[in-house]
Amino acid sequence: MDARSYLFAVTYTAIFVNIVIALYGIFVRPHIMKKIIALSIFGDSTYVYAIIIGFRKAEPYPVIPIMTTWEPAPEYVKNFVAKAVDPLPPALVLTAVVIGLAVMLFLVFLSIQAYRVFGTLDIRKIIRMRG
Amino acid sequence: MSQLYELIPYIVMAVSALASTVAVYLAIVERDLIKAVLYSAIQSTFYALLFYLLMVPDIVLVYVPVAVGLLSAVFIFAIKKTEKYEEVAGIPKTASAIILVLVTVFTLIAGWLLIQSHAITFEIFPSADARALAKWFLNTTLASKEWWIRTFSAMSPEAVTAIVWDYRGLDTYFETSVMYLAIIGALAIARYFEIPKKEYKEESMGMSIVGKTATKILVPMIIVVAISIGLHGHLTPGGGFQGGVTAAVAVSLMIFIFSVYFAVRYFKIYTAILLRIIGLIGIALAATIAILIALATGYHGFIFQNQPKPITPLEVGLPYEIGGNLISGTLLIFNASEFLAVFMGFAILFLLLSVPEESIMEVIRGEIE
Repeated sequence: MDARSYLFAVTYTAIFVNIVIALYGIFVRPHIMKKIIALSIFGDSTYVYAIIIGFRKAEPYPVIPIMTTWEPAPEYVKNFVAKAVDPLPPALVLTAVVIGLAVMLFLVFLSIQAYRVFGTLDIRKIIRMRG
Repeated sequence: MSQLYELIPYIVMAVSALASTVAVYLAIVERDLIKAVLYSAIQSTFYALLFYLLMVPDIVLVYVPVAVGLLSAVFIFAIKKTEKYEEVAGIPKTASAIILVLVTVFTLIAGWLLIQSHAITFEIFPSADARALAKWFLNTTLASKEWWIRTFSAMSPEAVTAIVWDYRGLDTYFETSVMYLAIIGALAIARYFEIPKKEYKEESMGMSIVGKTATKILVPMIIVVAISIGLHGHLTPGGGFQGGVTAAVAVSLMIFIFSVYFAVRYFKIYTAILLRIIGLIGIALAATIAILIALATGYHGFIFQNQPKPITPLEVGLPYEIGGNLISGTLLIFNASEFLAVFMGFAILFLLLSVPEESIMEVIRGEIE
C-alpha cells in the first residue's frame, strides 16, 4: 500500500470515529444544547465525507476547480481536467453549510423558547413534566 | 527527499483528522457547556484545514465564518441565557453501551455502502480518475472557441459557482427557500418580541474599551472583504453565500461586543426583512430574466438560462462580458442578490436572538393570561 493511501485511510477512519462519537452524543447525552452541538459535529463530518468523494490523486497534487485564465487554450483545458478535483460536491456542501446554519439557529431559538416555558433544558426533566 | 515533500499535505491531513477526533471526544464528554462549544470550535478549525487540503477553497470560505465564528457565538449566547452545566448523573450505563454499539454498526454499514457504491475505493485511494460528470463540468465551465462547448458553458472560470447558480441553479433556488422558511419559523416564534427603546451608553454596555476599539477597526474591514468575496464569486473562490456569512460575522460582532442597542442604530429588524426581500426578488429576477427579455423581444428563452445558445439562433441570454470585464451573465446578479439575502437573513436572526430576556418574559406572561 502506498504511503499516501495509508495516510488517506487514516483520515477516512478518523472522520468515521467522529461520526460515531457525535451520534452517541445525540442519542445519550441528556442536555438539549449538547445534542445540538453533537448534531452540528455530525453534519460537518458528513460534509467532509462528501468532499472526500470528490478528491482525486494527481501528480504532484490536485488543483482547485478554478481556471486562472479566461481565454483557455485547449492544452490548458486538458491539463485542468486531468488535475482539478470534482467541483460538484463543494457546490452541494456549500449550500448545505449555510442552510445548516439557518436550521441550527432555528433549533437554538426553539430550545431557548423551551427553557422559557419549562425552566430547564434537561430532556429527562422535560419528559417527566409530560408536556 | 522530494517524496517526503510530496507527502506533507497527506501527513497534515491525517494529523488534523486525528486531532479533530480528540476535540470531538472532549466536546461530547465535557460537562461544562461553554467548554464543549470551545472544543467544537477547535474541531471546526481542524475541519477547515481538512477542507483546504482537499482543495475546496469555496467550502473553507463558507465554513470558517459559519462553524468557527457564528455557530460558536450563537451557542455561547444561548448557553448564557439558559443553563451552563449539563446534569450527567443518572445516565444508564448499559443502555448507553447498547446505543454505542448500535451507532457503530449503523456507521459501519453506511461506510461500507459508500465503498460499495465505488464512491471511494481502498485499492487506489484516492482514485486518480474523476467521474465523467465532473470532467464534463470542468470541460464546459469556461468555453473556448468551439460552439458545441459554448452551448453548454456557463462562461465562468469558477466551476463551483457555475454549478451552484447555472448547472444546478434550481437546486440552489429551493435551498434558499428552505433557509427562508427557517427564518420565517424563527420570526413566527418571536412574533411579539421587540427590542426595547433604550439609549446606547458607551461606558455601561458591552465589553471593555479594548474589545470595542478593535471591533471598530475590524467591522468596516470585514464588510469590505465580504463584499469583495461576494461580488468576485464568478472569478475567484467565493460567492453570495460566502460573502453573506462573512458579513453576518460583522453584525454578530456589533451585537455581542457593543450591544443590541448599538446595532439597532444602524439597522432595525424591519429594514433587514425589507432588504432580504429585495435580495430574494433579485434572485427571482435573475432566474427569469432570459424569459422576460425573450417575451419582450419575441425570441425564445428559458427559466434559469444564463448564456445564449449558439445552436439555436433565436434564443436570447445575458452577455458574459461587458467592456472586457467578465461578468458571466446572471451569475453576478445571483451572487449580489444572494449576498444581500444571506447577510440580512442572519442579521434578522441575531437581532431576534439578542432581545433582552425581561421584555420577552413580559410578552410570554401576557400571552398566558
